[in-house]
Amino acid sequence: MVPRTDRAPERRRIYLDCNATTPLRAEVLAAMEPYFSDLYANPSSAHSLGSRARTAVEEARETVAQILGVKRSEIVFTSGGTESNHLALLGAAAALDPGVILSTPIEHSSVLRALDYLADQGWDVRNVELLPDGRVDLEQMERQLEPNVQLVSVGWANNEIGTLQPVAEIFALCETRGILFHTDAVQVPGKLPFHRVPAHLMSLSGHKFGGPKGVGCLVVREGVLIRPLFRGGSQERGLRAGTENVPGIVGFAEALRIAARSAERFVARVCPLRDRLWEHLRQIPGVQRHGAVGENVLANTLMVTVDGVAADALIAALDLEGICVSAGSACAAGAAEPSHVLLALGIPVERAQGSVRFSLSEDVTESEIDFVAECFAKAVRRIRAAEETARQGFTA
Amino acid sequence: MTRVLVAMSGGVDSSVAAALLVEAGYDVIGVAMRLWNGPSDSGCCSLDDFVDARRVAARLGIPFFVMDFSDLFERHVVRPFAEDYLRGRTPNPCARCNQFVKFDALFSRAQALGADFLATGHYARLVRGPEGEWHLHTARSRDKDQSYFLFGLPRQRLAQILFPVGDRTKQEVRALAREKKLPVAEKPESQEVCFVPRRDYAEFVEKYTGQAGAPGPIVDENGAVLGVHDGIHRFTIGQRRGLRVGGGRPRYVVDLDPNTGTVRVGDRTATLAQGLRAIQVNWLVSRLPEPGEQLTVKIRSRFNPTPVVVESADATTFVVRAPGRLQAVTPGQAAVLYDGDRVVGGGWIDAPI
Repeated sequence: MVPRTDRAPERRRIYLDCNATTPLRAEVLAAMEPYFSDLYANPSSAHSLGSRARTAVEEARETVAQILGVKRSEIVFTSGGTESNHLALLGAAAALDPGVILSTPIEHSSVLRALDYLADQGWDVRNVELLPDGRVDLEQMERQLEPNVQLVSVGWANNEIGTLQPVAEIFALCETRGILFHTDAVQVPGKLPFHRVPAHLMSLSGHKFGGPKGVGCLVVREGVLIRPLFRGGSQERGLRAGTENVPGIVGFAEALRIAARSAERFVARVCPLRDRLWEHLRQIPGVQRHGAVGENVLANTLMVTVDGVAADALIAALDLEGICVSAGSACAAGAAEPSHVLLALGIPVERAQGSVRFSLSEDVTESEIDFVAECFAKAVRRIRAAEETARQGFTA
Repeated sequence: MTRVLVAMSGGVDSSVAAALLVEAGYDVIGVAMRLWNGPSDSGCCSLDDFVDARRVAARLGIPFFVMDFSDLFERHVVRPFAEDYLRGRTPNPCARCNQFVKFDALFSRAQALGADFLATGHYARLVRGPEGEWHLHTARSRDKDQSYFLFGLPRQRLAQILFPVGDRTKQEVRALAREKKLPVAEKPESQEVCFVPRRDYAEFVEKYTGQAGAPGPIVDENGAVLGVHDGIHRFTIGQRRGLRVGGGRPRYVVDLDPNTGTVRVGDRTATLAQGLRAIQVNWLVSRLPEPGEQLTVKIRSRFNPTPVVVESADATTFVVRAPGRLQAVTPGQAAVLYDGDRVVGGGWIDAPI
């Protein structure tokens, strides 16, 4: 078919879906490029070309370790957040006798499904009590940390509602009791400045902070025993067999370096924009905000629900204006689904079906935020009017 | 620019419909409807279908969204389907889906997205009458005609609906798909009920409702018991196969009694009715037919339109008589009245007369 030329040129895209993924930074791509082309060797090869690749992987490991304030030997590169969470939970469980695992019902699906699997394997998986904003109730949790608890997994920053957990306090509670603590920190780098790893096991994913997809890492603090998911070569000290994703690992380290350096600036920039967006949206009747506020939420995240409006209609309407947002959850086909996080926080399913998550990047401007709010209000009005017409047509 | 929302199933008809709209210069938005989350093997709502629809949209350069209508679909289509079978009726889920989901809920979505029209890949035509009013007509291609399934369209919305493939044959549609290099050009037809795996309605009804069929007697015209069956949901009026009652002459199901679980059989003449009564009627003309008016009726999708005389017609019901008799009038199926090519209206068969 002849390409159409009579369509309006695509307008500027406003990307407010940074908790789903972020664009690869140009500097990161530049750092990765040699390892796709000239420096293609296997890091395990003994020749000099292999040595170049090995050096790149180990320098990346050193960069990551320095930023996180841990030792090089505590970094295990993986294929991303899901693998890191599985390696942490299944790997730690394999080295322990089955007992109690404490977690929350608002974790990422890769944590929830890994815990389902462990429950099938005989583990007693329990939920800790959550406050209405999604924060762990520390007092309740302390009571739940009985001697038979072996492992605790609580995500640092929730990807849907942005709520931040008191991970330092949870870590302290676990440490004094000799309980392993894992945190899924995939949403943290670049969006929240931090100076230490508040867990025995911590998962990260490169593409959430300007790095490439398909690479992540698990921090395994010294003395923590886990078993590998994959067996084979001795890569990653035997904890993750398989030829290293050299360009990915190089990109991961470079992206983490930039993210750590710019996190404070990011917060200072996007927090007022996120608040400005909410100031606009709260004027619309039937719009509710979910999750924590102030210091207890990611600076870039705003999760709202709209009474009587289906998320997929809203997302499509915004998309037609060039605005990219998410409902929070989607099925394999791509249809919006009620967010399991909202459902776990007791939000009724009808309301949870109308959820829209804004997760801002630092590139968005004030005028774009105003435009987004305007489009959102218009879309809500149109959807409600269409539903109203349909209802009247039905009874007539 | 005129905006059109086109329902895209990932099949060849709706893909070509979308392509024709793009070619005609409309501002086209593709939407795939997620209707059913259970197992299905008949080419609807499988992940591959959504992938195909998305690929076609990408090829056409149009925005594409998957939207979930599974709650509505279950409420208005799947549950009534199972309940009808248990009540000895033979449902028509496609007509209900068109009436309650595609041309209602999806229509609302189209309006919400600022679309001026809703388009689908159905084989039917919309024709403008002398006073500017819109009429639903059969497709040009008689063997592909789907107007029977569309009788429930709200009349006031006909002006905002488009059937871009309605005046083409299937061969033409396939040829267009090939010409436009659509990735679904060679995709096989899916004609079965989309949510029922392996065409096994009885198994679906049992699994969905969690009820094994209640056994009951099979009796002849005189009430003599000829055998037993394992549930009336396994039968439809006019059915001949699978009765297992022996005897030399062919026997047909003539009645299903949900109260006693009785399947009554008879010879072919016993399946002939003088006419029928339809309820929940939707009229697609401004003037109701008068008693004595001559029309034709279709009482199932594969049925030659048969001449009938209108006995009565009001806003929600009609009674028609067929001088030549109607074979196997089946409660639960749709009865659609035609004046030539034009759909006059239709309703659900309540009972033969």
